[in-house]
Amino acid sequence: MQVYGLWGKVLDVDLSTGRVSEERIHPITYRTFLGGRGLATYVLWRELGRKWRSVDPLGPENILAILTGPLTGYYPGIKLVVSGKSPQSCGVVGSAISSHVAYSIKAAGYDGILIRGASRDSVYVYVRDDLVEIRDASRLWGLRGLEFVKSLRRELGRDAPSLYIGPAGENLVRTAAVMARWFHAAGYGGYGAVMGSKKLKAVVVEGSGPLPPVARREEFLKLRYEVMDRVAARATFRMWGTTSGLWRVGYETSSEPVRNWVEEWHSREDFNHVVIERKYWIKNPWADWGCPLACMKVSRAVIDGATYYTDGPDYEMGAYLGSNLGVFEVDKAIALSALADDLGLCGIQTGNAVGFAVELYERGVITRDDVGYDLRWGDFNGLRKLVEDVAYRRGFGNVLAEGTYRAAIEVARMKGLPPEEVLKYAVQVKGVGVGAHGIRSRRDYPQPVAYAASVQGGDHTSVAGLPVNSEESEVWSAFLDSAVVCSFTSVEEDTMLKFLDAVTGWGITREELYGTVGLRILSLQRILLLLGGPDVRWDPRVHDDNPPRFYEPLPSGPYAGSTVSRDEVLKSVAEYYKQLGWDEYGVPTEETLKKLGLYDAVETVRALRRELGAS
Amino acid sequence: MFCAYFLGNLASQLGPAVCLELGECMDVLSLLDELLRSREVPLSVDELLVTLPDGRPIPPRATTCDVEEVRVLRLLRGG
Repeated sequence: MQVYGLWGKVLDVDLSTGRVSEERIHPITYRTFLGGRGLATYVLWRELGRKWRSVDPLGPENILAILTGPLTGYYPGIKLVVSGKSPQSCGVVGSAISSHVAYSIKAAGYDGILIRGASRDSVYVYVRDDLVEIRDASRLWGLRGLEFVKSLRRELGRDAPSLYIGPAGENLVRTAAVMARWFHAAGYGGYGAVMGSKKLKAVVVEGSGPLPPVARREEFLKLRYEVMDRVAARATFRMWGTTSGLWRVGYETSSEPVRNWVEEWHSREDFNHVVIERKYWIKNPWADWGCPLACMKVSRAVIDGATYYTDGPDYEMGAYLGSNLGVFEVDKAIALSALADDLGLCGIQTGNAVGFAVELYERGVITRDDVGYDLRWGDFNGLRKLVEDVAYRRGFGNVLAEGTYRAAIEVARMKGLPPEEVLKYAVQVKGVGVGAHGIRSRRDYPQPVAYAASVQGGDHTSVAGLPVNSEESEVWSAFLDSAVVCSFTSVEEDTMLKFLDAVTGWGITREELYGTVGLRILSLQRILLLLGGPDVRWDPRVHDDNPPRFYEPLPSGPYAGSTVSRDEVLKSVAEYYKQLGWDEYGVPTEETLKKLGLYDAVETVRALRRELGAS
Repeated sequence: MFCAYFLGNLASQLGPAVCLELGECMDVLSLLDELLRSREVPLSVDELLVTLPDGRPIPPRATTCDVEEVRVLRLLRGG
């Protein structure tokens, strides 16, 4: 059977044995799971599903999946998905990253790379078309991002597309990201730590061949030009990227984290994209291969003689390492964002954990004796030190390096408090810090059900929403991450499906997308999330919920007093599960699994239901 | 009669639907832009997905005489 848009094979690299092989992926598997997040979920289920609970995400059994999708290289924008068993949620998170590596993998003749086992010494994987080598990385290990990129350039004699980790990943920090091109991050999931656990510093891919053929070339080209024109016309986004959110989300929609989400509004007119554009951007626009939107920008700030570079900062980084920490001076938010990039930390998860720690300090739950120095809102020096301590697992940073959820449990243990007394300040869902888009004002895009029912926890790029057969649904996110497409260059489902059809010839309809293909991916992710383990397990009756903070009324801004009620959220969660064909606990029903062809999950689901005491 | 149906949180801001009796043909996107401004929704039309009820894109420069109903939701989700 001919596959279009894909090569039908992935590289399989075992770092324990040094064995490298090619794995053929059956065309029907692609048609069933698409690629990216979907294919990663399938592979993880197939290979680890039976022993999922005992698989340590930071052990050699875990599989790191670096996967493109059928639209990679064809659809405007260039992304790939990093996945595996997540050290944050212990489920599967599809973590998308913009990187030239995506195109290069396909140009090398593969659809992705699976990495299993663990090396004894530090290594990097080098791919140049059909040459695949596991190389010594002892000269690169320990380097921060900017220095790593320079050193790799010196070693290879040229710039080469790479995914890499910084010190945070090397130190198995659960908020570590997989990085690319200085500032890009696959942050959700904590896969930087998975790379670190395998002693894998980087994956370098130089592909020189063509992309695989498409099913209908003329139609594909016509659609590509049409979408390129439409995306390039998104003037606001092109001009300011996501950085404009620092003003718009904070001031206009009241949904930006401010001081660990105590507030979601600020009126600091000097903390916005126009100030950043005028004073700090040294490159605008900036884009990865094939992206007409070019939403990225490069900023530079100098503080006390030290120069910091980052992109944007994009909204999430600026919010989480700015307003969420009480930092409203743009240069300092840039510096903290640059520091996170350089250390290989996810800015969202790290900003979430550090904000949590500052609130604990301000409330006196933790003290100077615990931290070693003062932690105050907006205190740049203390915050900078703590971010570094997280990356190197020093002192109290070692507690936060476990991510907000696990840190809360540990602080409760340290202080002899009931866990809920500390967890009430942790703004996370199922081990994943909530992205910088709140729900209380209802003026932003996440619905009240968004995080409570997501299979990726607090991931703002994969939120649940009603109705389930629309782009509001998490099924749509699963589709974008599996096809693999940047959500900022996406258009309506009708055109996206035509594009997919022109490339692959699969003829997937809207009904099939929402009724089977996307739902299948989501259902398997949900099963693996509920299995969890070894250190955390999620009870849907407890954990399919928002962080307690989201039930406190907003204290300030134009929507002061706004909140969501827990009753409303739980009703929405129940309705969402019903529409997906899941039971009252969010477990896919046997009927749904059979409809989706997931017969091998039926026994697992029966066991899950028994554990939950379901009738 | 021209009706715009809103999904997600747009529906909680604007109501599930806004229907207007119009005396002349108006550009759909301009009309939606005006509606957002009049209701103080801080979004521009290039941040929205505007489609026909069945999910197909509206024709370029469509007017309210060309289409009677549109489905509107937020395009940019995240950042």
